[in-house]
Amino acid sequence: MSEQLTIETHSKKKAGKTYGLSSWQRLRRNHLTVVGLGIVSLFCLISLLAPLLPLPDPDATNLAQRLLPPLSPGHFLGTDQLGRDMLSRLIWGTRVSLSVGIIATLIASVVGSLFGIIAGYYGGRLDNLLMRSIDMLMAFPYMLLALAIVAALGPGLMNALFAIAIVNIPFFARNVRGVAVSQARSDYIEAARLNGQSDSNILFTELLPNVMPVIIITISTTVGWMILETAGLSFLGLGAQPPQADLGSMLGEGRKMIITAPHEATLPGLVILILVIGINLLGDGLRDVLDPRLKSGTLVRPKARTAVDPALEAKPEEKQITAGNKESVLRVNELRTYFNMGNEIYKAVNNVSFNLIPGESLGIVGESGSGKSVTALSLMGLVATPPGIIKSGSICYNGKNLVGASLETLQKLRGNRITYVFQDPLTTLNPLLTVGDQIAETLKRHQTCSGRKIKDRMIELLKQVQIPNAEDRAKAYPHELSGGMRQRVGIAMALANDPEIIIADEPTTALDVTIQAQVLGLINNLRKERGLSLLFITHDFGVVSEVCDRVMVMYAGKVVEAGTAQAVINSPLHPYTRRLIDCVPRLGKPDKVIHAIKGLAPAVNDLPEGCAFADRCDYARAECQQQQITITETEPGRSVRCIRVSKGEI
Amino acid sequence: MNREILSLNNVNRAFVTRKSLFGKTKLVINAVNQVDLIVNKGQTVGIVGESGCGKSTLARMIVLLDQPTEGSILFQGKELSSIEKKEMKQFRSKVQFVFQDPLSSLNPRKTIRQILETPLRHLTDMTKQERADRVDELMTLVNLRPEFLERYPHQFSGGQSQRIGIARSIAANPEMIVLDEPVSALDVSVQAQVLNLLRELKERLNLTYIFISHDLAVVENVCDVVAVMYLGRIVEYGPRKKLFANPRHPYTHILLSSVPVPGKQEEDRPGLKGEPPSPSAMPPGCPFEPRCPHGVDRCKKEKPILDNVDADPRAACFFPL
Repeated sequence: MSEQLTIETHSKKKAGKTYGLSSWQRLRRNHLTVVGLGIVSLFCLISLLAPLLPLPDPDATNLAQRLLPPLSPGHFLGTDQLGRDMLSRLIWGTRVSLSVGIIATLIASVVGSLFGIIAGYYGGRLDNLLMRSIDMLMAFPYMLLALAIVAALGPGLMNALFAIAIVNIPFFARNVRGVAVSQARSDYIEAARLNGQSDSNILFTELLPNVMPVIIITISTTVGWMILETAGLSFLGLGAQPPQADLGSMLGEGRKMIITAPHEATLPGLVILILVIGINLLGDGLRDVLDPRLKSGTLVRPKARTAVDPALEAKPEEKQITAGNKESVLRVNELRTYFNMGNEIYKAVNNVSFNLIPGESLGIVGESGSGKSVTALSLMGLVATPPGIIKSGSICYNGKNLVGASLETLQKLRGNRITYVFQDPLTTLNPLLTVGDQIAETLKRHQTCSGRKIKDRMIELLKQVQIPNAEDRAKAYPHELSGGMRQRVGIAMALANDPEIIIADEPTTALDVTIQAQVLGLINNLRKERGLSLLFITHDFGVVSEVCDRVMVMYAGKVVEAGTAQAVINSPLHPYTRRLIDCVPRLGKPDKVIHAIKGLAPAVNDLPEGCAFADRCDYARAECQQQQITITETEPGRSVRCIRVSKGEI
Repeated sequence: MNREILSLNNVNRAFVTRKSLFGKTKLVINAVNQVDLIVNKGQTVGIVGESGCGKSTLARMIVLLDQPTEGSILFQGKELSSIEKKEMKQFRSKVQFVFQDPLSSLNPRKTIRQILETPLRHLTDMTKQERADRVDELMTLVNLRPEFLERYPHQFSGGQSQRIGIARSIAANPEMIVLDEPVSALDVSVQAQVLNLLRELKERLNLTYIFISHDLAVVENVCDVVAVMYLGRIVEYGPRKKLFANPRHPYTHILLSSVPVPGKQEEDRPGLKGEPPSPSAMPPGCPFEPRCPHGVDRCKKEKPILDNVDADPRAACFFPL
């Protein structure tokens, strides 16, 4: 039951903070959207209140007072050619245009979304039938189709409304279908089927709520357009019929008087302009809030180098000062990398120090969120900024501090002296270039030699990573290769410029066990042949035994234990390390009871005062939570961050 | 105790894709090929294999999310393809499924209460009050606080989401649950929590599990009987202990020796050469022959079937180890 409690407290914190900004707050942060919202609400309010406002009858003619200019007594905006009050006609006309636009949008959205959601959910023949008929509708020029429909039905406001609704059905059908197709294949729809729900039930209770944002986005972006189209049809005399006022017909009538009474055409034109701008500003803002792609911030382009705390930004003469340790090729000291998200600071890497000796292989082990990947990315300034920032610490590579080094310096090292191998090469390789070209590009970036030589070197690299038929495979695109082959290409790219250090971030996690064994063997052999240093990130102690000389275990952004791989695995000193090794079923020990670690790791934006593992630890005591626990060296090359070790108890 | 609950007889599933624009060339992929399997009540049957071996397709056919192109699947003696609409509700309440990716299997726009109530509403005849009580009970069964009920899936971690997925699967009191890689998307410490929960539920609720996984250590830990699949076929089948201790099929042997074990640095593991052949261009003989260290001429021409010798486990190999 204590497990329940820890889970509970953790989630409560998480739920309250990470999802801080509501849609409404995000909407309000965009000033243009607020302007749009103001304009639209003002227009809507005035239109709604039109019958209550002290306005003269918009259709009452008074030929004696025709074509009065604006600001005339009794007629604030003047009169038209029949002496009707312009202000009254504009307000009543806006009311008509707005309601026609909105009703047409609603009709189009209901019918179009229904088409789209059904086509997307059922797929196959029905999808083909529905979407091809939609395509036929789209094959006609847009306004022409509306004209043809009105011509067939006869002029009139209602007929114009239907025409415009029909013309806009395809937009909804297509947008909604696109999302419905992807949603209909997702697991939760399958789960609904397993729940015994009927098709119609799944369509309306499971699928519809998930395509709703798209429908709303499409509505918000089409309303303005629909109002323009209504105005267009009325302008041509096919929409609102005299004497009824609507913005389009007023514009049409005013056009004839443009020389003698310019206000008569200009005013309705201005109203249309402002109204549509307001609607579009609001629509864009709504889209920004509702569109999941925009929401996740993927459209914010990260900087080419991780931001560094201004105090650490290196001045040229200071670069050489940090003395390099002769025994290490890379020395990281008290590195802190934080993420600033809204009002929260996520301490992803929180005071990490380590040392990489030439030719050795150092493993970083931890669960997701432990900071192991961010540590690796910080080394070459590859943590996305915003929101990442290197807060403090130093990264010494051959006597040079890379924290605060210029982008140019880093770019000379990246892919050259220090290279990366990532988990899934499918996401890191460019899908539009052949793998051969991509390896060649890595070579060209850092070497000056002839195209012929580069090609030879590229083929040689592919052979070194044991890709059969290297010449042919070089012409393959990433998706044409299997996962194992793609990872070999990834390794070939990392090796291309004879690096000193390779940083491999879970390079075999996505691979099948037999392929993993092949790739691990390859990495091991290449490393030993070339005397490379390897920084190997993984969550699997089995893999650590296979490739690593030393290992450090991370938890909640901190190193909790470090030592030789053998010592750490055979006699772990930190309770977390021990539990992490024990909670995994081990092959060949079928009757091993697996002891789960209770609860969850703390969120790194809400770390406890003392030891981050304390509330999951069997040995925890009061003092664990009162103070920061320092990392203690128990013997040369072995250190542990645990109060029982620092007090000499074990 | 050896009561048969599920049996698969010569189950095949072929996918046909058209390669050219006008559908002239047909590409047939046999995702599942001549699979026979018997599951007894109360057992945990493991199905292991690497990606593309057809284990997930098999799982989907067992829960009627897909249908075999040939062969029959019998649940409690009843042929699945003959289940009519009226009987569907009963079948769905008896056989349930747990997905690999816990988050994507939960509708992001529903609260946990709504998610857990849905199967109760559609598969049982419970009243509103009974449903509410059952939902509370389910949360206790999977060790989650009832206060979580009003939250949405994105507010939970992977392990918690998987608990919710498991709670949904046991909601209507099923007899058998098919678990498709239920812990492979989870962190190792959370994975252990979920495995222990599954074990506990199985005993408490008297369940039968079909456990699909690529993780051999996990399968060895939780399953009673194990079937190893390779390219759509079961190549070895037998009781867990014997199969893991003395695998008879060369593929199983290599698979087992490929798993890295903490504290052991394997210098010369047998290793598997090459990659599996494309499922659309299968060799005429034994599918494993191109990669097998012991392959001979006969393996290229004939397809081996599961042998039936006294020595368990059974292997589909002419020259078992």
